[in-house]
This record gives sequence, C-alpha cells and structure tokens, in this order.
Amino acid sequence: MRLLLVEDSQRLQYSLSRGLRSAGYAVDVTGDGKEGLWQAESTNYDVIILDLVLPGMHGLEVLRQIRAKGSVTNIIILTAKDTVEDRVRGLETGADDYLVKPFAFDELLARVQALCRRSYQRKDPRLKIGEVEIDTSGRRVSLQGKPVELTPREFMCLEYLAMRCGHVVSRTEIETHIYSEPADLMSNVVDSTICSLRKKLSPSGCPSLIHTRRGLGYELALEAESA
Amino acid sequence: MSTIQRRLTLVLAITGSLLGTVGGSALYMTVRKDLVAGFDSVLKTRAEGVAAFITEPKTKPAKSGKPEALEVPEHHLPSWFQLLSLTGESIERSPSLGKGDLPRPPSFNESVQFWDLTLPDGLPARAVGLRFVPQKSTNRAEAASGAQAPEEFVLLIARHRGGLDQALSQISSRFIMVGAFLFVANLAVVILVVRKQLRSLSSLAAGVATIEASSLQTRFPAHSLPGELRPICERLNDLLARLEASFNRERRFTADAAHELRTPIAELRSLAEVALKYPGDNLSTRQALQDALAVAGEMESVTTGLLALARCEAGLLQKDFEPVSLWPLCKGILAGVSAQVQAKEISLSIEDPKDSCWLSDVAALRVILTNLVTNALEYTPQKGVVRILSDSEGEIHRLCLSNTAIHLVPEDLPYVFERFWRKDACRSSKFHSGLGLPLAKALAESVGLQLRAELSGSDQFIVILSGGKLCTPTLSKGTDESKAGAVFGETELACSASKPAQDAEAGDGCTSQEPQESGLVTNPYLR
Repeated sequence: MRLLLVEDSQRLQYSLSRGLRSAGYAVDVTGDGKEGLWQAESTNYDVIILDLVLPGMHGLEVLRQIRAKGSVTNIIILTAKDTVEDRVRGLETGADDYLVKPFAFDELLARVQALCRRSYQRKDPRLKIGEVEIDTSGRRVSLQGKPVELTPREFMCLEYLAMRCGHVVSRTEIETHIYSEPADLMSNVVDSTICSLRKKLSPSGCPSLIHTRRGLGYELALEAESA
Repeated sequence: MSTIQRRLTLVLAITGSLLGTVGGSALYMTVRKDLVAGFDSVLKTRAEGVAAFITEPKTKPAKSGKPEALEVPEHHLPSWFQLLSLTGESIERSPSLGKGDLPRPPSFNESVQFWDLTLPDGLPARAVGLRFVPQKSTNRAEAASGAQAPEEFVLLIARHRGGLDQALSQISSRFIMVGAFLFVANLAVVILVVRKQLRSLSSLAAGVATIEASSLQTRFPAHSLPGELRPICERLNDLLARLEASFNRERRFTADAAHELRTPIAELRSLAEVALKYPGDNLSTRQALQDALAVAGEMESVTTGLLALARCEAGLLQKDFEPVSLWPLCKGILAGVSAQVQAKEISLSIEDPKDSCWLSDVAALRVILTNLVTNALEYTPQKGVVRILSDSEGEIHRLCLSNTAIHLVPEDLPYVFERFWRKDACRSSKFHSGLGLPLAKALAESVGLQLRAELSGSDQFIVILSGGKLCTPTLSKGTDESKAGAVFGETELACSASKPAQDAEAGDGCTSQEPQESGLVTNPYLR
C-alpha cells in the first residue's frame, strides 16, 4: 500500500514515515501543500495523510482540489485543530477521517489500515484465498493453518494482490504500491518477489495462487483462467 | 412579565379612562343642571303667572289678613298647587290634594324656592315656592292708600318630573355608552400607539436576546432609533465590537496555543511510540532522542514564556526602580547577538544623542530590549537594517527600534502583541513561539512603559517603547546594571552617538558585557 504524508513538521515526517514504512507501507513525504497536491494528482495513493496548516497551500484547499478532480483516494486529516467546527469542515470538504494531534501512532496505523481496506471494498482485515489466510492487521500469513514467514516486501506484494484478488495487476502497479523509491526500469525486484511468494505459498503438488498474465501482469486467484 | 410596554399601556389606559370618566361626569352634571334649571324656570313662570291672578277681595273681609280673604281665579290653575300664608296656613289648594298638603320646605326664606317631592299620587315631582304679594282690588287699593304694608303669601306649585327624569336617564345612558366606547377605543389606541412607539425598543430587545457567542458580528442600526435609544444602541454596538474582537482574539489564541502545544506533544509521542514499536539501529535511536530533546526545549520555551506572562500580568514580578543607562544596556544586549548580525549582514546602528538614562527596573528593561532586538534580528532579511533610536519630549523619553520587515502589512499590527501570533500562518519556525513581543509588552506595562508598533513606508517595522522618565545617571549599588554602567562608564557614554554598534565594539574602545541573570526570563528559546 502506498501512502502520502503531507506534514510540515520534520520530526513528525521522520517518525511517522519511519513507523509507517516499518509497518509495511510505501510512504512518500512532503512538507508543502502545493507539492502535496502535485504528488496526490500524479500518483495513485491508497491513503493520504494530510496536515491542515501547511506552507504553500492550506490542507483544506489541497483536499478541495483533490476532490474537485474526482479523486477517490482515501484522505485522513492529521491536525492540531480540534474543534467540532474544524472536524466538520474537514469531513465536509471531503476527508474520510480526522485525527487530532497528539495521537497514538497505533491509532493512526489502525485508521490507515481501515482506509486501505475501504479502498478495496474490504471490511474484514483477514483475507482468505484458498488455503492462504492473510491477516492485514497482524501482518501475518498462514498456509493450511501454518504460519508462513514472509519478508515485509513479500507481505506487501501479497497483500496488494490479495486486495485485488481476481484482477490482473500490472508490474508497475505493484512497484508503485509497495516501493517507497521508484524501482529501476530494468529491475526484476517484482518478479523475484513474486517468484519467492510462489515458492512459499505453493508447496509441492499444489497449484500456484499467483498467475502470470503475459504482457499484462499478475493475478491472485484460486484457479487460472484458460488462456 | 412586567415590561415597559405593558406598564405604559396600563398607566395610559387607566389615566385615559379616569380622565374620560371625570370629564363625562362633569359634562353630565352640567347638562343635568341646565335641564333642571329649565324645568325650574318653567315652574317659576307658571307660579308667577298664577300669582298675578290672585287678588285681594274688593270688600274688606271680617278679619283682615285671613287667608280666605284672597280671590283665587278658577281658571289657569295648575293640577298641583297650594296657597299658603307666610305662617304656613293653607288658604287654597288644588282639588288633587284633597285635604292634604304639598310637602314643603321647613321655611320660605327665599322669594323663590325649588325642591323635589313625591306627590300624593306617588309620582316624583318638583315644586316651586313663590312668595308674592297679591294684587289689590281697585276699591281696596284706593282705601288702603297710605295704610299698612301689604301682606305676602306663598304659592306652591308642583309638577310631575317624569319627563325630566326620563330625559336625564336617557342622557345618562348615552353618556355611559359613549364612555364605554371611548374606554375601549382609548385602550385600543393606547395599545397601538405604545406598541408602535416602542417598536424600535422591542426590536432592539429582540435582537439583543438573540445574540450568542456565534453571532457577535451583529450590529444594530442606531440611525433609525429615537434619540433616547441611540446612545444605548451605539454603546451596545461598541460593546459588541469589543466583545467580538475579544472572542476572536481568544479563538486565535486557542487555535495558536493548540498548535504550539499539541504539535510538539504529537511529535514527542510519535517519536517515542515509533522508537518503541520499531526499534532500529543506534543511528535512528540517536536521531529520535535528539528530536525528543529539541521538542522538549521548545515546549520548555513555550511554558516559560506563558509562566512569565502569567506572573507579569498577576503583578508577581518584583520591580526595583533605579537609573538605567540605555546605551550600555543596548550594547550589552547587542554583544550577545553579534554573530547573528554578522551572519545576516545586517546593518545595525544605535542613535542616542542624549546618552539617555531612564528611571526603571533594569531587569525588566533588559528582557524587554532583548526580546525586541532578537525579534528584530530574526525577522530582518539578509542585508536588512536594524536601527535603535532614542528621543524625548520634555520629561518623557522613548526608544524606537526599527527593522526591515518585508512581509508585514498594516492589518497585522493589531495582532503583533498577541500571544502565539505569527505572520507565518503555518508556524513553520520552531525558533519562535510568538511570546516574545507579548511578554515585552506586558513587562513594559508592568514598569509603567508603553509598547506599540508601527509600519513606516513599505518595509520598516517600528516598535516604540515610550513613557520612560529621564533621570541623572548614578551608580547605584547592588544591581546588575550598576555593574554594567561601571564597566561601560563615562567612556561608553561618550561614544559617538550615531555610530554602528559593530564599529563601536571593534574600534573605539567600548566594551560589552553579557546580560546578567536577573531572575527574570532570559531563556534563549523565548522569542
């Protein structure tokens, strides 16, 4: 999942981005409202964490312009403004959630996870595809009831594919949603991650859940469609 | 509920009704009197007419002066009459009386007397009693010429007064009806008039009743109000304006304070939680700790500033007034910021042509000037100008500190002394918390000085510290400033008046001294 953090406090930028990345999210960070708007328009983020009092452009204006262009990206406002009027104004302008500073990092994380699930019309934090069960909250994966050890990147890739289960996901989309830094055009990090996932999630004799669609990308599904 | 409108309506209605009743009664009494007088006049005329026909007999009766000695005409007699002698003996009476008498007054002192009575037939009547002297017959007149004085008699005539009473009753009824109508009409008119005349007051009261904290921008039109209400309305509008400004100031303060206090707490909490949840290598841990320390420093600055402001406003700061030489004080403060002056290549000058010495509290004055100077240096752009100038008007002296400020506009001036106010709405600078100028102003007021701000031209921000009382420099003992004065001494005061501070420090033998700890806030974070 890829997040955009628009926050002018460098210390919050540092701690939140570190925490969110450690939790398995790809995070882009900016401290300027205009730059945040530009990034929100140029990249398909799963969730945007938006401060209100920003240099360059006020957070509400950023939010208004994002919504004016038809974006459905989930946006959570993170601000010190705590009055009812502020919260109502933020939500009415188009925010999906509102969190007042100071906040608990775990609460922010839980809200981000909830918004990510909402992005893919999922209510249950546990995803089950065949014999594979993914706990998006606990960041755990099990196969036939036995835990499977995945690297953070493998988990992010699997989670993203599972969220879009039944849909073909391009390599670029996977890169965009799981890597904080742009992957090299010639890099095969996605392919190698998929390969590793196939090995870990498909014991010998079992059909693979991750299918390659030539020229299109990958699909997580129970059975491969006939070519 | 007792209202002016109700009370006024009640008083006017009762007063109008009373006046109407009294007026109506007086009018009725006048009419009644006229009608009765007319009735009496008819009775009197009738009595006089009858009396004119009553004569003495032509022949002298056996006993002179006896009542039967009168000749009463048979015709033209009224239905109810009685002829009496002055002694009350009945001489003649109408047949309707039978053998009875007409009720009469106790005496006949007047020549004509009227009274009410009830006739033997049981009907009310009014009677007249007329004293008269009967006409003498020709023979007797001739015989009596030169004789004794003529004898008087009393003629009583009564007349039914049913018509009069009926007329009076009708008039009375009409008066009552008209009075009732006038009462109702008066009440309606009073209600309408009072309501109309008090409409402006009512609308003002209704408007005032709807004012809430969220509608303090309401203003009432004073020009359409009566003269008595206009000053009230104008003062009310003034009060609302002050209240609105106060509420807005409080809102700004709350919002700014929320940002100033919540953000560092959020930073601190986030740093700690992430560090605990995802412990990284030593480098990231060290970075988190450094950030936490910086956040703690900023929060300490805000807390210290707020405490200093609170103490200052509560009058808890001890003040010790003594002569304070401004030139050495400014030099000492500027010495502490010389690095910043050089780094930003700021042109700094002090102009004190009179070597001013104020009677003030040296510690408070030092904090005030430190905050003003550091604030000026912080917001002056690269290669800008900072100028400190002192002048005086009589005994009152002032110190002006100007600096280049390219972002300030006149609309900002009312806010520059507000707590936590910063021109930068996103409050990105961590070095300033927006408490330096408010503290300087509060301290200035606590020692009897005034601090205000002006904009000159397009880019000169001037802070004026005024109200300083000039005095003769003396070397008082036991204060920090006395030490500073001793150090700078006469040599310092004799330095070239308009010379830039850097030059003075570098080339003319002037020395500077770091500000001493004075018990007041000299926290470097406090800006």
